[in-house]
Amino acid sequence: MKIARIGELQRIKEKGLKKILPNKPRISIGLGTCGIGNGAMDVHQAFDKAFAKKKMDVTLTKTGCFGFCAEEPLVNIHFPGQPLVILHKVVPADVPSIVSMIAEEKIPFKKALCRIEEWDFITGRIVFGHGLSRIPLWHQIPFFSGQKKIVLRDCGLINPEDIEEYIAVGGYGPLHKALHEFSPEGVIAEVKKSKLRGRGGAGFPTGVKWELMRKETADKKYVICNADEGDPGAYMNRNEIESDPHMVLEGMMIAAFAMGADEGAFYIRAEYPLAVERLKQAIKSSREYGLLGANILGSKFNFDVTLVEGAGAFVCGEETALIASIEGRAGRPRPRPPFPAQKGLFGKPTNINNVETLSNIPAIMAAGPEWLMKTGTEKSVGTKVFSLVGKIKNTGLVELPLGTSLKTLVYNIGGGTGTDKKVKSIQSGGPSGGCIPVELFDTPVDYESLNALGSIMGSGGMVVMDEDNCMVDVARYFTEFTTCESCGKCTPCREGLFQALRILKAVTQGRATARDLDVLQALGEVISDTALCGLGQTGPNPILTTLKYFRNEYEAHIHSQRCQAGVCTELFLSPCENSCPLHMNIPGFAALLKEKKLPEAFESVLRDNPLPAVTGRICPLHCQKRCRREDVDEPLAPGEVHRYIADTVYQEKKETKIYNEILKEKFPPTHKKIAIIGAGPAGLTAAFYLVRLGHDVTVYESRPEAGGVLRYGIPEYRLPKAVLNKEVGFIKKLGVNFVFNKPVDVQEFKAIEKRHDAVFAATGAYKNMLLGIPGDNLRGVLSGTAFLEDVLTRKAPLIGKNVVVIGAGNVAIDAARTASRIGSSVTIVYRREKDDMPAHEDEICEAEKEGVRFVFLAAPKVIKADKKGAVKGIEVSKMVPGAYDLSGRKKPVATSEAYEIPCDTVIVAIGERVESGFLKEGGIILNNNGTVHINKATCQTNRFNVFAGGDLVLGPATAVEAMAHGKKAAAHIDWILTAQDRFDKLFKKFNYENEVPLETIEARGEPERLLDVKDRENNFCQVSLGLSRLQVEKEVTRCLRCDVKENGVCHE
Amino acid sequence: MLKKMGFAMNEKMMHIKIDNKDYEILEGTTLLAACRKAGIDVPALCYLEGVNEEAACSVCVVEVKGAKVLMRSCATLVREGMEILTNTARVRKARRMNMELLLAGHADDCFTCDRSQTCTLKKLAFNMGIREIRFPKATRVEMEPDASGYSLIRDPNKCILCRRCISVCAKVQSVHAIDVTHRGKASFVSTFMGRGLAHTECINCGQCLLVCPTGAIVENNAIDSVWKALNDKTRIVLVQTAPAVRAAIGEEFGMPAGSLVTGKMAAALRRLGFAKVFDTQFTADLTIMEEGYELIDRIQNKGPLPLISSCSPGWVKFAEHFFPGILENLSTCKSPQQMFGALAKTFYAQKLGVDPRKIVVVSVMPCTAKKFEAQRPEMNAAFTYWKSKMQLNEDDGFPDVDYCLTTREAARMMKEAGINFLHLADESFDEPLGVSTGAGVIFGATGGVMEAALRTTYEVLTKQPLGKLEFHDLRGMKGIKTAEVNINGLPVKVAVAHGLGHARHLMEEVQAGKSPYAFIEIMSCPGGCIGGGGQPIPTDAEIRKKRMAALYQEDEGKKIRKSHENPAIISLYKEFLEAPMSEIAHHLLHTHYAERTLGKEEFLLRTHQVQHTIEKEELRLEEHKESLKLLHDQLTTLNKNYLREQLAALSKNYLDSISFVSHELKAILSSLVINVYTIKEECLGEINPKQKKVFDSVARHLDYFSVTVRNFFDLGRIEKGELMLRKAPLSLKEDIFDASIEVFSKHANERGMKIVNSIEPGLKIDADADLLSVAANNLIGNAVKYGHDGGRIIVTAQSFDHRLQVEVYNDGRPISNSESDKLFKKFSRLEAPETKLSRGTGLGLFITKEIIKKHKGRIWAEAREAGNAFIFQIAKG
Repeated sequence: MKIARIGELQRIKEKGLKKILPNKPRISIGLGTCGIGNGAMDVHQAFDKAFAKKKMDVTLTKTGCFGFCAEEPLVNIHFPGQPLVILHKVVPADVPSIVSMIAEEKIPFKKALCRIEEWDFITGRIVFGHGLSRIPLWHQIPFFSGQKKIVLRDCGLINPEDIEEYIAVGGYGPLHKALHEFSPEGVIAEVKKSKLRGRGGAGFPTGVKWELMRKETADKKYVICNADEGDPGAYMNRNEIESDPHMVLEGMMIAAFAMGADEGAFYIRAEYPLAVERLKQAIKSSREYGLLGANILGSKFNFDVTLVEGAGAFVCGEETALIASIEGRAGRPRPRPPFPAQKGLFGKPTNINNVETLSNIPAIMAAGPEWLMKTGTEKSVGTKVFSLVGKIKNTGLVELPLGTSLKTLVYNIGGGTGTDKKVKSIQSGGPSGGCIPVELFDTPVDYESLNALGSIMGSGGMVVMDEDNCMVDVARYFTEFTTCESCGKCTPCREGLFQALRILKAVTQGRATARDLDVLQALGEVISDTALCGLGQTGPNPILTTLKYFRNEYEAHIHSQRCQAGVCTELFLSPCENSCPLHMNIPGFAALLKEKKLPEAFESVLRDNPLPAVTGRICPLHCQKRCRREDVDEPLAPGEVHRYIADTVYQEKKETKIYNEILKEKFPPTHKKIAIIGAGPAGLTAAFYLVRLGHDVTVYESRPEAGGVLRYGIPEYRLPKAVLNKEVGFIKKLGVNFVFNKPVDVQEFKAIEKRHDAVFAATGAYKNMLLGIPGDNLRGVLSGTAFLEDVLTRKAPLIGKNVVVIGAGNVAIDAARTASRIGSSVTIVYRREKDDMPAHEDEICEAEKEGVRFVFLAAPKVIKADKKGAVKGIEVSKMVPGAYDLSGRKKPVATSEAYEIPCDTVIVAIGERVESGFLKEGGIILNNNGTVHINKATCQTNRFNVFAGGDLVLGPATAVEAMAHGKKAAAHIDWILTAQDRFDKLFKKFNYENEVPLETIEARGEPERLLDVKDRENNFCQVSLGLSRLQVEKEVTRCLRCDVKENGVCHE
Repeated sequence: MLKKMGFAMNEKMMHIKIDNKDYEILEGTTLLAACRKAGIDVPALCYLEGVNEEAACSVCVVEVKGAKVLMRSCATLVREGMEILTNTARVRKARRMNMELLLAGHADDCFTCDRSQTCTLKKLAFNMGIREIRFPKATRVEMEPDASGYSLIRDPNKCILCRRCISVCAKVQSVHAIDVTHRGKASFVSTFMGRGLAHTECINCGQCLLVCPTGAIVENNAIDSVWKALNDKTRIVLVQTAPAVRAAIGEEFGMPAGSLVTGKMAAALRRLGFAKVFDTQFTADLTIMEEGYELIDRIQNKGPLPLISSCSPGWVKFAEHFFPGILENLSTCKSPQQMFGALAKTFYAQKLGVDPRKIVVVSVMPCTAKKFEAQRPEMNAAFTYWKSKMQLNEDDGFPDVDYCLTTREAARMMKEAGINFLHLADESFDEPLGVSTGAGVIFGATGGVMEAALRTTYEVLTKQPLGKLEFHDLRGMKGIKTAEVNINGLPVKVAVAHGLGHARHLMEEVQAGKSPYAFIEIMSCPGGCIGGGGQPIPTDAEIRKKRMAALYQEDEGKKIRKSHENPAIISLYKEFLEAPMSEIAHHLLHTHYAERTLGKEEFLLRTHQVQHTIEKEELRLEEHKESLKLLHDQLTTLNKNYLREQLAALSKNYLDSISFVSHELKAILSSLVINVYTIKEECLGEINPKQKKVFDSVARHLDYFSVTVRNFFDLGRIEKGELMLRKAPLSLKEDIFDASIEVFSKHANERGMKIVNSIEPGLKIDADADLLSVAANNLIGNAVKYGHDGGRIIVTAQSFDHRLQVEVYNDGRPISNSESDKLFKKFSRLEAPETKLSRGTGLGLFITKEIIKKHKGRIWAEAREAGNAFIFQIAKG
């Protein structure tokens, strides 16, 4: 059945078309490795059986992968004359119902992902049919919306094992065209004109490369296709070969013809058994059809290919190493020149192209170079296939026009992380690519832009990382890979990567010094600059980019021995302890409580956190987000546990003994005087520790009582003031002097500084930001914090019946719920969507229950006044969600549409700012936004004896983070005043069993007990009632005890 | 200028800039060569022109304008308009960093390193201004040095993986004994399967050592052995020095290459304490005589031609490995070193009149392979010579040459001895083994053997003096040199090769039978012995040429320049060897060769390895077995515990039922028995005999029944631990046994048995009367039951200090040992004829035992002659 003439090719094309568009239903299952891995084989079998049983006249066949790996197994259903429908996540159990629907010629809408009406195969076009508008068109699915399929044009639509189907969609037409309508030079001219660049990573212009090879005169020339895809996390080439082997083969034939080669070799990873099998099959059928061999398609062109399986060395992707490997030698690169085009395989001129480069060739030959240039950017033409993996919702193969931004890739196509964790970085180009931070996601994906950031295009791996990824560990991981894969020939790669890995390991284990970072930086630069081949030259990219964009993480590991992401296990007790700003020993107090040692549990909690009952109520629970129990069922609620511990101890009056003990341990007086400005959570915490160290501590507070935002900002129903009084009481009892009603201005600050040995400033963030719209100074416009303070201090707030709260943070919610309790009807107005609200999810939920209304996508435009000059309403612009911004949220865009919300009070809670003027005047350096600039590890300002912390440094943050600053500052103040490591002596080791629960019985977290909604009206009773004794006892048994390590190593 | 393959070589000049100055450089030149031409010494570590161009070390980098990365100057060719910067901060930073990385990976025991003075790494580190190594040590793999070979020792921890050794071995010598194995940081230079040089085709030429930039390859040092020999006053230590040494050893003392220091060398060796300083050139002349005559013989007798020289031990091993088919073409002559050894311990020993075993022969050689040659087992001609004469044993064997020193080692000894080499006055060699000709001198250079041989063979064959002694075609550094000599009108073609890569070409011709040559000289090392692996470092092409020139200069200065004219040789033949190729010459001066098949060794080694693996696996299996056993034991214990628990639960149940049932039955039975007996004994009136018979039977059954119930009742108490001891003083005979005997007397009488109670009356004991009675009843009852009719039952008691021993004897079938073991077990009844007759619960003796145990005593059974005794001992109080 050798094809020699165009007519024969045409005949097979028609034959193939009848296979793709038969006059009966055609069902094809996506049987790529990804599909098979998700159980597509079973699905195929189930269909086969069901059709046989029902004796149905349908075509059941297989295809490759359509790219959406997260939705596998994919099944295509096509009834004659109708659009092709792609079903997703089909499991064998779905098959019977689908089959019976097919029998009735119905579409199983429930399982339908998208439909395809017609398809541009570039080499040809197929119309499947029209209709079924219930199902979205394929490019209406976000995952496909930005994609353009050139390389993946056939993938998932034709049977990769049937050459006739490939011919049916126009396959081997381009080859025929090249052989009969072009000279070899003509083909090269076309490729050159198309500006196609090598898709293997380096981006060398393909046409130029071919031309160099063409010019070589030799009795023998080779072309090689590099399918040795060794990057972890990248599988484009595998899929391309599995789904469409003939496309690569045809590209190679055209290349061979253009360059005058008569023999080709596929160098393919042996770990890709399916790709190897399909490629073998494709080669076999090509030979049968006369497409390989002598006088191909009736021309004088002779060509055949060999398949070489690579043993999986990463370095064999480098062309000289690859050649050595094919020749049977160890895969080690050699210096170039001579280039392979001069002296390649067996000493003969050789051209090596990547799978994807070759896949572009038939398309260029079919549609012309100008066509390709319509896609992509001026310098980076066409598309590139990426494998999108990592912390991303929609994993899969993505073919993007070059120049598309990373933002589009990650958020539009990838759908973000799919969890409440934020995207932190993306690593492009495999293990030797760089990590690009989310701040730079506006970058277009093209060769030059990625290089400018210190990364590479590489073969197209894209690994997304979120906040749970430690960037130092990421660098270590990739460096370990390249170190293992280094061939060992040149010094910088062999010795340099090894030493770099040593340093990185030292960093992750907290053993590194600041100097190590300098050495690491220099080392990375030199390796890049002097390594012999691409592996070594790009190997340090993960190191250099993380050093560049995430240096703070390295510094935290080195200076504070902290791994914020909770990855480097040597540096912390447990993930929860690590994420707690106060580093409370959560597994410890849970274990103590489990053993019914309530007083010890309380003591442990108190020593770590002077306000356990308070924080137990209001903490946003950083710990809970990191709890590994989440992988089993639900995370633990440590906040509820320490709230219970403190509440119960107070109730049972067991605290006195512990208080007395702590009082007794107080260090002898040091006669050092310390001033703390601000009695908020940060100041109180600093005072708690410093006074116990024997210092003379005085707290200056502008308000009449201690507590700061805890007292004047958080409504009673969230935090009863009795609880606060109890815990502040102990701090007072410890001997801290309080000077109330003492606002500190610059003169006072200077005086205080003079009188004391050290000053800790923590005055918080109270200044409300203004709306900056007409009418924002009208009577009836209040600030959120002021309103809350008025209510808390029993001043009658001036609010009307209809209140609009502007903002979506916790202050806004507090204000709204407070106003609602006073009896107003409250509406929250927010310019973005609900999911974008920064407030705590539970709070939003409770507010809704309490009758607070929400208006989303509305931005205040003007506040209208009545005749008396009081507020009568607020006019808002209607917003629509626009493109994603770098926070991963859609940016609201104003429309011309506006409407008015009538109201008599507007509470503005769009954020608070710090008042740090007195410090600036006092000579303390501030950041641009007015917060105080400190050394993050010590809380020290530019003056050695002045420290600052809390919101004053962070801007509006949580109380616990402020307390953490107080704790950190206390430790360092003590250190500078005494030059001794005494701080650790304030803590105690408790004895409890260190046993990991051997079997984990699934037990979901205990539900929070809440006050009934109708009981909340018109009062400020505490809403959250905490957990009962039984609930807490159950809760602590759920702890997985991540703190228990054997020889410093975590349990498996 | 270096021209890379694959490039058109049209001698074009390229206009380039080096550090902003203009240069014209020939196309195809490397940047390194260009820079050097421009007077800039770019540091290079791995590069070895024409040999090692792997671009591995990354030290020679330079900045090329427009290039993204730094370029390796050794592997980059000049291009038109190229601008090169060699001294920028970027370049220095990269060079230093790479150097530091290499140094961190190098075991730097510089004080004790052989290459301390000649280490390129050390020199470059100094030149590049390395003041600190910012990285922790990371030596290769903490591997043991490979000291398996006789000549060379390789230490991977000092290796910086420059690959020079590999390239020399593969490209120059075509031996391929070593290569890099593993990858990345774990890679190191190794031999096939890592089994050591001795087990490879390594020919010990030492070219790898010469090119090694560090001390990773050194010779197997013989200095200490030689010092030891020199210190031994009972021995005569002779030294011989090869021709190439005198042209090179001066370099070790700072003299320029090519300095001829024959006289100083002889003087220095004498200062070291050698008894006689001889010259290997003497035996070189002798070699020419033997080899020349061999050639003549082969030409005349159509022996295998070409004749191939055999002076170079590396070459000989090479031939034995790679060209076993042409071994018969090799001259059978030993090398001059070995001829010398053989003569020193025969001819010279005889001359001195000393025991040859007293003589130590040390050679100073430019060669590392000589160390290997000297230890070849067949190189013991002197021993063979003396063996029968002196009646020696095999164990007394000694080699012809004892120790081989390289030129470097000899120089080090001189330095150690504090000899001021440069100021020594010339001295001459000792006689007679120190007399030589110009022919012997030129042995040290490639082509020299051939030239010397031609001088002699020509004259011997033509009987005419040779007009011009110099064969210039055979001199110089060309890899393969050929010449044609007309001897008696016959054109004789000869060839010379140095470097085994070149030799391989000639040998392939020979093997194919296409060689046109009559005589071929082969030297392993490039340049011949003057470029040998034992020569001073550095040894490069320029230095080789200079050393060669020195040898030719000495030849020219010699009065006698033909071997056959050497008077000492002439007299040696006269006095001792008779004639060339004589029988004695054959014994002492000729040798044989054999194919070296690594295959066989390989097979053995592999077998050994497999065995080793099997053993290891077996060991592991054993371990597994062990752990399995442990596991099994654990399981068993677990199982047992489980069973025990289950059993305990079960048995509690069972005991409760026994106690309950037996207790209930006991009460009912008592009244039943009384009633039956009352009727049977006719207390309630007369009964007829038929009725009596029935009642007798009923009573008998009831008796048995009550005994059984009682037993069970007791058993229940025992097992539940309720057997309480209520001790009271009692008299054993009266209170216990008399009563028991009374109970059974009726039965006994019925069977004609006699029961004797010989317990001492009034024997007092503190015990529980009830329980002891039960025991006594059981014992007596058994005795009655199992004794035979008409037999005796004797009860005796013996009193000890605190114990009392009671024995109940009865005539009957003696119980066997195995049976007696079972006796006291619960529910155990003997399968014996007598038990079939009588019924029993199998509980009696168990209960008895428990009772006795309760009394802190023990019970056992003893078989006697015609009966059995049941004996128990209890405490008296």
